[in-house]
Amino acid sequence: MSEGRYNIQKQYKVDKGMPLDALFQRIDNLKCRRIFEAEIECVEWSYHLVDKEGIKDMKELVREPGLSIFEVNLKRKISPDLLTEVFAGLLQRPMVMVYLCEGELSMGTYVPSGKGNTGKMCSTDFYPYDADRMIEVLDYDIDCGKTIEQIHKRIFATLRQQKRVIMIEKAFERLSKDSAKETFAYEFSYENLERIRRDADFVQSQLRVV
Amino acid sequence: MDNGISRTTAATILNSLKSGVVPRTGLEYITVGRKSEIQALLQDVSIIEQGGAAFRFIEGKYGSGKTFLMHALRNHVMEKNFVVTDVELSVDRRLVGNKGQGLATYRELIRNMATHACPDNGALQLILDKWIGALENEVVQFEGLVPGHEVFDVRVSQKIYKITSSMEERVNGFDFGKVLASYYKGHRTGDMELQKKALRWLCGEYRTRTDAKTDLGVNLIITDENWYDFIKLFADFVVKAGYAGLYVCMDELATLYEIPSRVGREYNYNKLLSVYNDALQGKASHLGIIVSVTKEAMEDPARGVFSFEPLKSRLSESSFEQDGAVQMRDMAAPVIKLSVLNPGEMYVLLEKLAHIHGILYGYTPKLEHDDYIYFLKQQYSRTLEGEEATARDMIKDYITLLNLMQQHQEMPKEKILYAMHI
Repeated sequence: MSEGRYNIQKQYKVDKGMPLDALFQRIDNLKCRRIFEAEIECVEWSYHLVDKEGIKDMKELVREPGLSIFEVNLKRKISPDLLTEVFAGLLQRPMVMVYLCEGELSMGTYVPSGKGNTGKMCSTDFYPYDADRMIEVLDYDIDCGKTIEQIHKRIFATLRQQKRVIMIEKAFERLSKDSAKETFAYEFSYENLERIRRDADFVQSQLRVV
Repeated sequence: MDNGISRTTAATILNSLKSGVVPRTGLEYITVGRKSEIQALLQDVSIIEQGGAAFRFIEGKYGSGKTFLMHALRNHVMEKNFVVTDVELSVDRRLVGNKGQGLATYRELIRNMATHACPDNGALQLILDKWIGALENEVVQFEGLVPGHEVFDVRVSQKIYKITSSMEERVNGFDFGKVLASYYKGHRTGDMELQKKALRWLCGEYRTRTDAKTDLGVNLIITDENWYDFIKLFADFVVKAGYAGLYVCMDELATLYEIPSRVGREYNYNKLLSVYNDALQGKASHLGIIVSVTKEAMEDPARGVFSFEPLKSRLSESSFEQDGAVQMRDMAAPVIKLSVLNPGEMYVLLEKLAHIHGILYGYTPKLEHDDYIYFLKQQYSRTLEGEEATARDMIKDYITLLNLMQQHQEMPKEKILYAMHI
């Protein structure tokens, strides 16, 4: 039943909507639960990557340990770190989360590290959804023949790298906007406008032939 | 400053700008942020008035206001008693070409001659008649002779020939003077046909020397090769006819950059070089030439003006300017680089346009400081998003906004301002 995009046997399509009411009931923090209830439109379990081959039915698939890929549609942007943290607590399994909101995309992942440990988490900020910057969950050349654990480690590393790139881009964008704002503030200042008006009047008097 | 703009001028300004073209009149009322450029060009004008020559390139992006600046200067010098003329270079009008494109440029320049008394082109005949009239007046005033007196025509003729013979020492001046004399002869004898022939010759419409020889007794016609000599002769002549000089505006030099063949481009750049050299070496007098060009057409090393080494070496920025010495610009350099209006300058321009709109429709526009800023920020946000917002586009949008506000004065201005889809 494998329907992997890259024909990797380990990837199975699930396409299963998650019961949000039941899921969010398990959030301890009430404020957090309210946020999730208000801002999350739907959560879908899209794919499940498992090491076992030849899985026959969905029942067998969902029971099999592996790497789950979820897609979360948001009404408004929430911090991807918070989302990943809470979903990691709720789902308690190796996972890759794809958050979609206002035409932008963010990704997070959680790598559990045994009982008693918190595991590793990483998530990127939201960025415009385009093919050039799409983070591929699977890369046939790299992932073919690898175990799920190895694939997950590779995804984790890719996300960390991408997180850094996006952070730099956002910071630079902010810097450009700030400098543009500063320029505007000077441009529209009383002193500057007065100077321009004076110069324009002077030019007008020069161009006028009496 | 009291503007004193008439409603007609206000209508011309707003209608032209709304259509995205430069108004023919009233430019001084909306010239903002061009103080140093105007001062430099006015300096040229005073040199031309005193018998010198000037040549300037106006370099800037599309929509940066090159044509605007040229027209502002054109109007100003026309008011200062200059003969002005302009041409928009195109595929059919170049500086030189194998299909008579250079001559076509000359013809357009002669056709577009304008003066204060005849501001809408076609002033050549008026200039000639004014010249003859002025000489006749001199004879009346200073020699006490009246038209019809037996010596009157002789005295006027003597003055005419004195002037035309003074031009003989210039290149092609002999024939030029001879044709002017023929025009006068036609005027004196009532031979309209002869006058027309002289005008046709001056307009560069004679195709063969034989025809010119038969009709006017001259051995020369105006061609692709020699047309610029006649522009210089005209500059000389208009001063003798009582004007301050000749001011030539050439728009769209980028046309030369678009010539597909390298040889064709180089011929044209070579002609441009000789015109430039003439102006700056003192070979021309009472002549001002101003040429508009885009940055790409100027500086492209493969096809632009800078692909022609002699021009590049003359027109390149000095090393001081290249090092970007705190935005200092040498305004005496042959190339005036126009930057686009900055937000503050656009703000003042919008204020002026609102004032002009108020004059045209007899109301007081309700726009305030924050409204101008809101409008401009909306416009500049397009640039931040990667879309180039030119002054031309902004002004078109703004005049639409003013129109809507004036037409719906009962509506809160914010409703219109915030509803504008930019």
